[in-house]
Order: sequence, then structure tokens, then C-alpha cells
Amino acid sequence: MSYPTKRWEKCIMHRDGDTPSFLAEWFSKPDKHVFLIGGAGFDPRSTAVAKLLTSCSKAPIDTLLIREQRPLPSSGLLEGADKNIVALKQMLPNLVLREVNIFSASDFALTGGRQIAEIARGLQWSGITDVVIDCSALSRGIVFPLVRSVLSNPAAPVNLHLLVIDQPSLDDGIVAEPTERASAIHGFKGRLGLESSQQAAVLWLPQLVAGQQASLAKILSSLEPKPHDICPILPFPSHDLRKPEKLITEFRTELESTWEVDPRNVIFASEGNPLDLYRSILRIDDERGEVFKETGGSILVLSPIGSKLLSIGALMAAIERDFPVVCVEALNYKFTPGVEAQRFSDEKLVHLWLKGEAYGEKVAS
Amino acid sequence: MFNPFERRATEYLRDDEAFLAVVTPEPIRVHLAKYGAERSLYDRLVVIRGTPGSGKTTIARVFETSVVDTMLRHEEAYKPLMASLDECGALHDARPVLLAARIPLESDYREIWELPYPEDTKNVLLTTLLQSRTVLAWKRQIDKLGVSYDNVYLTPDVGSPGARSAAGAESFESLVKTAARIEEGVLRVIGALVPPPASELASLDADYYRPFETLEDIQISFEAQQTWFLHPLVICDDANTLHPFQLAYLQRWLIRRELRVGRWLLTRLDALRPEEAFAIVHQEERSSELPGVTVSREIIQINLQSERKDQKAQFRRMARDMANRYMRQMPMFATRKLDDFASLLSDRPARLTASKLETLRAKTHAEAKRLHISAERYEGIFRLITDYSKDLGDDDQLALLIILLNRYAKRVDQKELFGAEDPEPARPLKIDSGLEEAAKLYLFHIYQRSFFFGFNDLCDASSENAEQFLRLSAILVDAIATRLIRNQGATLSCEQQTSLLRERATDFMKSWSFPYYDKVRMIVEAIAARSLHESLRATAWLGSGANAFGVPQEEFARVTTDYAELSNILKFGMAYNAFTLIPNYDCQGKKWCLIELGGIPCLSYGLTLKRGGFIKSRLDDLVEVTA
Repeated sequence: MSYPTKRWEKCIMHRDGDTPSFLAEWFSKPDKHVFLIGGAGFDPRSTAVAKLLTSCSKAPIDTLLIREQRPLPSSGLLEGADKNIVALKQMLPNLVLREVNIFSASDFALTGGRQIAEIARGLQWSGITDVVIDCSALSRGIVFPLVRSVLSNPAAPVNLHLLVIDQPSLDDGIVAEPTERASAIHGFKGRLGLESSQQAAVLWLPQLVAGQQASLAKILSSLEPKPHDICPILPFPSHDLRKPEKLITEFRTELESTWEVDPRNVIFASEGNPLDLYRSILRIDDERGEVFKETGGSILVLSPIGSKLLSIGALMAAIERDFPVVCVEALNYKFTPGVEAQRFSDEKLVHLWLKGEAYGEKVAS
Repeated sequence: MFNPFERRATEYLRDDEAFLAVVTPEPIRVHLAKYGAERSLYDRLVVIRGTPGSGKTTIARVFETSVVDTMLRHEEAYKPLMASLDECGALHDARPVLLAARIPLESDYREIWELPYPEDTKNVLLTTLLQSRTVLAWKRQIDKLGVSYDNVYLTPDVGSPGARSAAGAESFESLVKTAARIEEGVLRVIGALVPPPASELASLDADYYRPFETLEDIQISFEAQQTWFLHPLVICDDANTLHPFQLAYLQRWLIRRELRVGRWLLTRLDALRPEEAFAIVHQEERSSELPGVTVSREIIQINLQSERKDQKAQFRRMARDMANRYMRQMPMFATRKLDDFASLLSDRPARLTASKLETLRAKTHAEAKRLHISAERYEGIFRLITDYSKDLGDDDQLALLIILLNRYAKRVDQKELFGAEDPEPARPLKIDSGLEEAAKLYLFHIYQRSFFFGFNDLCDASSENAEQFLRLSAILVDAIATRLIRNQGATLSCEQQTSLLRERATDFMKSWSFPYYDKVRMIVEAIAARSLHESLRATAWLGSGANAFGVPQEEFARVTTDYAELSNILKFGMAYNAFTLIPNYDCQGKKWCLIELGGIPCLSYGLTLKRGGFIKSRLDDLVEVTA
């Protein structure tokens, strides 16, 4: 059986310490002009990519920093964000700071995705050769529409790079206080709920994350039509090799009684490699597409609520096949002690080259 | 082990048969039958409100035509449910009379509010999407009946030919095609990363699309010479997802008499502004939001959490029926003919062990000595207890004795206690059920005797919320199943029930995730700590104990104007059963508004489930707690 070629089948990725040397080499070319988009929040990773780029690159860097505003922030987080902004301003004097209200003030409905899409549409790209999106300190609700906007904009620069600091322990240490509703990320509704998709067999792929039972329950409750089957995603291999077992224990009620998951339906995805999850999702879609093509087709619903890297894998799959992505956004965050003190080594930086010269595209002259 | 109680929400049950097997008719009969008898459920707007998990969606789904059809095919099995639908006028001569479909107003509808168009345009998009999706949902109901579209006839409408033509209502097939086209068009606008300019919306034909104004009756002919005449009914679920302005607009729009279809709007309390939410639970009318509308005449408002006197008994009946239905789903119970959940929960707590009893007895003597109470008085008080009830165990008697000794000491002049006399108390000592409860609470906290047990306690701890009841029951069902696997008797002891219920309640509170849940938790903790402290006072001055704060009513009236954040915290706490508001509560010649803890916090903190005991407080105290 032959399946369609995957867009990022041969995606270029750097990790395990290769990213800084690649960035230094690539951005040392004289014709390079970088547009960096990153987060200006409390996340201690906010400054790491900017620091690296300014130190290793000779190219001019224009910067757009997104400050995500959420209701009821704690003063500690606000102070952390202010500190990061000061540090970023010192490194990148040309930066532009834009605030995005993630929620509507009146009823906590999501508004951030729409705002970032609008901001992305208004960006001026003249002279820019490379867009670098630093996902480390941006939330999913911002990164997903942002990447899609840049990828779908014919006027955008030819090269699009994603950078993420792979630090699952840090992701786990930032505890989100979820909002009360699940909803599709802006621009990632797919065909879910459309009359023409009513006969489709819906498969939900929730990513299991410790302490997120309530969020996943909200997501399942929000799905219409309800999924015919559920295949939970477990991070394996992961930094903590016992993580899948711990998650299975924690989610035993959901797996056995609420979702009634067949033990053979669990998806294992490497925690440190987004392309592993990307390929797994597309393979499942290919195979289900064949099986269900005579009975209304198949729809996969993604809920990447865990580590950043796995979310990027889900993002790539969702963009390629127009899968719905349903999540519960965080009303605000809490830091666990010790997280702030963490240091990031270059080993942790992962680079994904999503579009551009590496794939035969030419820089506009 | 598969435990259907853990599944809780019936919306996860895809098959109608599986859904019907766990549905109890009681809520439909209790909340809707009255209006069904008046024939007012399907000709005007019906608004149903309740807390999450109170059964709104389940009620809606029971009315869906395909579900009713399933019932008719298994008439014997679903007789009670069919009787309740009959009472509501949803059946006539054992035939359905409604083409009903539930429309969840999920985030797509709310997204419309964020589009960069004038408000009128956004409102038109909202009603257009709702109408097109409703037509498609009706179509899916008909699909499930297995009827060809050629056998579906729309009653001619001469009054509004324009609306009919724009909706494609010349035939059912074209009605469906038009709806699918409109739905796709509106969703393309909503889902676009950057929405198209308003000028491009004209191609949607949204301004003229009004099927609700032209559809009155739908006739379906079956091959077996049978014909159904169905009145369309739209059930808008989760209306709380809409923006407050959208909700107000939709409500006004659904009230319009031009609409021929039946329409229900299901919403949670937290969708409302705090002042409305506070008023709604206590059945005050708030018509100010809908100018020009006489709410009582044009809208039927049904509140699933009302303060009716018989609510507790009704909930217990409903919960018992529901639990037994869920149990029948578990082969482990079904094969052993264990089909009465309540009978598996013991309500006879084990008495204190001999050594603990001796400690308690010694404590009563020590207490009498400390308070300078004579031996005669001690005996007299003890006689009072034995005269009150012969059924009390030794531990209950001794716990009561300690309380009464302290009450006695409090009611006599302290100087007299040191004299030779055996003074009479200022008010005679009296025992009632409240004091009995106080003694049990004392034994629970000091001697770890079980306190929460039996089916009635389980129901009371559920705050009249079906989902909460199932969630609490699930852990008990698991424990019973484990006993059966180990070849032990099925009945769960009071000690096990107390410990399991408290464990589940604490987990439940840890899993809270709704707006302001942190601050709700702070208020709950403050009320619980004070209530526990006062409930365990030696004199048990609060009788059965407290589980509430009482704020003077005139002060509470200012909460929405002077304490904006606090009113939001209270609204969400109330909507998620963390606490209940009881306004205008009479006590000591004053009116109070009680902020009473829900069953889950009462279980978790070990407070009485009896209602009415409160600690006086102020709004400023609550603000301070959440600071």
C-alpha cells in the first residue's frame, strides 16, 4: 500500500548540541536578515534563544516579542516577565513588543489566537530572509496559529525555523490553571462537526500528562461528534523512563472506565523527537483513511497538552492534514520552586527547519 | 475493572440503548411534567438552568426523536420513561410528536463574537449558524429513523413564502442541502485565520435564511402505513458558552412569536451575571435583562437546583433509581442479583471499643470534676439522656453527657458552682436531634467513629447533583466489587464508607479547575476551619454544627456593586457546588444570607451535612480570606 508523501518526511532537525553550530554557520552568511518572533513572559527560557542568536549570528535581527496577557496573574510571574523584557531589550535594541490578550475580559473566552493571526498578517517582511520562531516561551494557542499564518503567507520570507528548548522537567514544573472550556485552537478546527464529516469515524489522540485529567475530560466533553475511538499518546522514550507507567497508573480510571481504551491502542512517541509523533500520527491517518474511505472517512482530533516538542510534532501533522486541535488554555500559571533556577545548556535546544532553501525553495531576489 | 459510575456523564454513551439503560425518569417528571400538562413546553421559549452535572444534557437527549423511537421499540423496558414523556406531551397515542434535536452551542458560536464585524452582522451569523445546524441535526434524527427523504413532507406555509424559499424548504432534501451549504459557508468565515471583509459575507445569504419561521410541522410516512406528525423542537445546550451579549440576544431572538418551532435553551448558572445567578437559584424573577418582555408569560424558566422543600426526597428517589440502573450494567452485581445499591451501604456504625469507651467514661468524670458538678447532678443529667432515647449506644450517651455537663456549667452562675448547693441552670437542659448529631460529630473527630454512611448521607453529600452522586458512589462501588472478588459479604461497613467518601471528596476538591477555583478554595477552607472549630466547642452551642458563614442580608445585597471580584468568586463557587447561597435566612430576628458549604467540602473537612448552622461573618472577612 502506498501512501501520500509526507511534507516533512525528510524534515531537517538539529538537537543534542548541534543547533548552536548550525545557527552560527547559517547566520554567518552576509546576505542573512533574521526576523525573530518569541515570547516575553515569565518563562525562564524567554531569553535563551535571543542570547544564543545574538552571540553566534552576524546577521541583523529584527524582533517581535509577544507578551501573553492572562487574567489574574501572580505578582511573581509579572516580575519575572518584566525582568526578561529588560534583558531582551538590552540584547535586541530593535525589538517590538506586542501584547496579546489570551482571554476576553468579559467571559474568559479565547481571543489570543485571532489576535496573533492578525498581528502575523500585518508583519512587514521586506529584506528578511529567515523567520525564526522561538516556541520556548510561547503557549500553544499562540504558536499554532502563528506558524500556520507564516507558512500560508506567500509574502513571508522563504526560510522558517522553529526553535524550542527541550526541557520536559521545566514544562512539567510550570503548572497551568486550566480554563473551564476546551476549544479548538484558532485556525485548527479542521472539518470536525461539519455536516459533510458527520459520517466520518472520529479518533481522538489525547496526550497523557500528569495532573491533567480534568482538562482531558473537558476536551472529550467538548468534542462533537463524540470520538468513536481513543488512542492516548504516551511519551516513550522519555527522560524519565518510568513516566509511561506512572501515567498509566494515574489515568487508570479514564483508560478503563471512562474512555474504555483497548490496551493495543496506546501510541508511544519519543519525548525528545517531534518528528516521531508527527510520523506516527500521519501513519495512523493514512491507514485509517484506507479503512474508512467507503464509510465517510476518518478524522483525527489532536490534543497536545504536554511537552513543547511533542506539541510541535502535533502541530506539523495538524498543518499538513488539517486536523482539528482541541486544547484547554491556561487561565494562568504557577511556578513550582526550583524551576526558575534551572540553567539551559545548548544541548537542550532543538531546531526544526519547516520551510525554505533546504527544500529547494529560492530566496526572492 | 470497568466501573460505569466513573463514566458519569451520559454524553459519553454513543448508543441510544446504552444511554437509555441508565436514564431515570424522575427529573423529567419533576421538572417538566407540570408544563407538559399545560401544553406550554413547545410553543414558547423554555430556559432550563442548572449546575454542571445536574442532568441538563441528559434531559435534552431523552427528548431526541431517535431516542424516543428506540424507546418505542422496547416499550416494556422503558415504560416509566415513556410515561414521563407522555406527561410532558412528547408522546401521543404511543407515537412521538416532536422532531427534537440537541444543538451544543460550543465554541464556534462564541467565536462569532470575536469577528471584526458590526454587532448586527455577528448576531445574524449566530442565528444563521444555529438554524442551519438545527436543520441538519433534524435531518440526522430522520436518518436514524431510516426513512427516505421522499417520505418526509413539510407542511405548506403560505404565510412566509420568502422565508420558505430562502431556506430551501420546497422539499426536505433541498432544505437539507441549503442548510449544509450555509453551515459550511459560516464555518469557513469563523475558522479562517484572518476573517474575510464584511462585504464578502453577502454570498452566504445569511440575511434571508430563516427556516425557524417557516417550519411548523413535518410529516413522516413509514412503509408500514404509519404516519408521524412531528413538531420541530430545537434544544440549545451549553448556552453558557456564548458571550453574555450573545446569550441575551439569542434569548430575545428565541422569544419571538414568529418562530414556529419549539425552542429550549439549556444553560449553566455561571453564564449569568452574579446578581442574576444569585437571584435565579432562589426563584426571584429578573426581567430587567429583556426589555419589553413579560418573562413569566413568554418564557418558562426551569431551575434544576431550586430550594423546594421536597427536593431532597426527590433527589434521593432519583439517585436510588439511577444507581440501581448503573449497577445492573456490572455483571459482577447482576449475576449475584445485587440490584439495590442502598441496601449494600450499612447504616449501623460500629460502637467504640471497650478501651476507648473507658477513656470516654473517664473523661466524663474528669469533666464533671473540673466543672464542679455534683454526683447527683451528674446522675440527673445522665437520666435525662436515657429518658430521651433507649436506643442510644453507650458511646453516644457519654458523648452527649460531656456536652450536657458543659452546657449545665455554662447555664449556672459560676459562683454558685463552688458553693454547697446544687444550683439549677438558668434554662433547663434539653436534648434533641441536633444535639445527638453534635455528639456523633464529637465521636467522629475525637474517637474516629464513622460519621458519613448510608444512602441518605451519600445523597445529601451530592448536593442534589447527579454527576457528583455518581462520582462519590463510584468509589463505594469499587470497594463493594473488591469485597465480592474476595468472597466477602457485599455490604460496606460504615467505617469504610466514611473513609472512602472523605478520600473521594478530597480528591474531588483537588481536581477543581474552574475560574477562581483557587479563591473559591480559600473561602471554603475559611468556612470549614471556623465551622469545625465552633462545631466542636464543648457546649456544642451550634447544635448539630455549622457548615456555613452568615452575612447580614442587607450587607450581602451590596456584594455585586461593592465587591465585584468576590461576587464572581461566589458565583463560580455556587455554580460548581462548592457552596450554596441561602438568602433571607431568619435567625435571631435578623435576615441573613448563608454561604453554605456543599456536600463535598463537608465530607472532606468532616462537617455535618445537616443544614442551617452558621457562623456570623462579614463580606470584608471573605475579601480578606481571598486576598
